[in-house]
Amino acid sequence: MRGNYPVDPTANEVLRQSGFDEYFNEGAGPTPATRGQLVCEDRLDVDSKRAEARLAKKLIDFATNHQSVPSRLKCVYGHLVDCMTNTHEHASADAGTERWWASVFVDKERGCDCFTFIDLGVGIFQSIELNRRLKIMALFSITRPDIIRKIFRKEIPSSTGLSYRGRGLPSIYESLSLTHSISRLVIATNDVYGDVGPDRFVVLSKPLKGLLLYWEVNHDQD
Amino acid sequence: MIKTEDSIVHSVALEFTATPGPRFEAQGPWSGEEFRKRLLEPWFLDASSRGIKLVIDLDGGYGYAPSFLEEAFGGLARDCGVDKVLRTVAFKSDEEPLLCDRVAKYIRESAAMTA
Repeated sequence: MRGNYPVDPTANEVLRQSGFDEYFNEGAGPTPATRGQLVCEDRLDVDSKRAEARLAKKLIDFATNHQSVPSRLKCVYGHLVDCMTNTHEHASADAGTERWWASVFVDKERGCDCFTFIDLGVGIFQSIELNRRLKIMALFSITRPDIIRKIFRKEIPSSTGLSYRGRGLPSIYESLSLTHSISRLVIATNDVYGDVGPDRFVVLSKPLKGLLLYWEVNHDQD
Repeated sequence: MIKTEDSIVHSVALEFTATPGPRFEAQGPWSGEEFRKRLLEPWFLDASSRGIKLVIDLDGGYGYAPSFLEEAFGGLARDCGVDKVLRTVAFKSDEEPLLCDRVAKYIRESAAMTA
């Protein structure tokens, strides 16, 4: 690992407490100040690019401090597994060739758990299946933010052609808008950034290669 | 497993795993496909042949990816018929009461195809 810690004191503190150091220094164990956990698929496992439920469990265990899992985090567990599956299936032309990372940060000041999932695959708009649909949608002047909205609302059919598939992103949206299990949802993929709750979407000047999903779960929902 | 005269209760967490995985076996361990093939279908066939209710206890685990549930229960309905599955299978969840309705919805929608 190379690079410097941020100069900004707040960003510096958040990074140091995020579990980032522990992730890169395996075996060092978390310090008392550690408030986060970072996981990625096991680099020693030949099947490591698959969905690994045990790693989702690791994040949930960190957030609950190994106590019983409250229902607000049960849906998060499912979202994490679905995100891993989506990376496995859609992040590259050949299934299972892209890696993913996931993390949780327990933000005591704001009273929430912050979950991040990221892969550096092709991103939603470059996925081969969606690309075909995008060409048709472009004819109807449907913007990229509109497409993201439609995906979350399950208004774009699954790329498999089977209506019972493609429930991953819509179920995260349901957790935000319907069951309120999560309190904030952010997506960044290719040249689109969206804060989904307030429906604030912007075009990124520097595109993100891949997909980033971030959501928060309030502690006071227990 | 809890047996009564007119029902049999099986627990996903106790009899399969507390950490359910993705939809298909090829996507990762503890998949919905594996659960359906190895446990759910035999449970279902046993219950339906005896004319009793199969109650699936969904509590005790870390949660479920929608794709796991769809593949397990929607997949069962695709194999055995929506009506027969809805008549035979019931769900129990004290921890996530909305989950039971969601699984029933997956069963009802299991056969639908997009254009």
